[in-house]
Amino acid sequence: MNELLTELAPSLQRLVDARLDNIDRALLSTDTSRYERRQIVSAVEDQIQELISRINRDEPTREDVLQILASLDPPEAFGTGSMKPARDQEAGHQSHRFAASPLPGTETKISRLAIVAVSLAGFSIFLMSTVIVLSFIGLILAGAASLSAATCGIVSLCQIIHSNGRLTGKGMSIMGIISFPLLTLVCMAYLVLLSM
Amino acid sequence: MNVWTTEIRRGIVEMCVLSVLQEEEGYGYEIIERLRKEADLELTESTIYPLLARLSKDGLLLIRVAKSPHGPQRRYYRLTSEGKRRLVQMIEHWESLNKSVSKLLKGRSQ
Repeated sequence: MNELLTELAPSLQRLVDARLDNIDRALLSTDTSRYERRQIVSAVEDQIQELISRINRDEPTREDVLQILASLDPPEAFGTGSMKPARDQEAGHQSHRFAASPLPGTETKISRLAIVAVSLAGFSIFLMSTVIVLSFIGLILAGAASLSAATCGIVSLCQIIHSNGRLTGKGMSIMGIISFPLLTLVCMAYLVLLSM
Repeated sequence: MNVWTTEIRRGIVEMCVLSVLQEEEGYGYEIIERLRKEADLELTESTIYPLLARLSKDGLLLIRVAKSPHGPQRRYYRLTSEGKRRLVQMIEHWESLNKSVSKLLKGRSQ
């Protein structure tokens, strides 16, 4: 399709090509055959060139091209649009508008990518909820465990001190005692990091 | 109501496009303009071009690509003999249906 737009500057041609590619992609989401897709995209390209040739300027500007593209149906209209009638009520004049319609007789279907997107979104929400619930439960369990460790550590340290050397394990008792303040500090640091 | 209106118009668009090309060939954008001027039908490219592609695929239209006087190429569409036959059938069916429904509606309103 590029050879047909030789008069456009490369940057403007890219705008047109991007639009045509998007239309092709939208058509791919339907059951439109390759032959029809090519015909449709070429027809839109012809129309863009026709509109550009009607501009009273030697070189079309970026604004001109953008304005022309904006006047066309969006690419999605070629894939999943629906025919919507409307009436022009000005001065009693009635016209019938049909916008963004697929091929007459073409069955519409939900985009597979949209299904993947909504499934992933649901899965991520599920995971996030699980992490939140589990982290909350984990925090409570960790708090309870470290508090128990500190209590056991204090009691065992007292027993070791009063055992006249019969009991050992002072280091382990101290480790148990400091686990609670240590965990509290780690939790606070984590909360501060989260709030930043 | 909107769904009904959309459905009833969908089939008619095909007849209108074939009808526009009955007398002479036309290129895509010109067909859209003719429909607007001659029948007050505001049809956009996402309706007309897929329809033209399907009609040409079905052998009802022939495509001729030629350069326009202004430079850009144009894709001219014209009816094949099969297309002309189909249009005659459509018009006959439309007129018969229109007559029957009008008669019914007229009878009800009186």
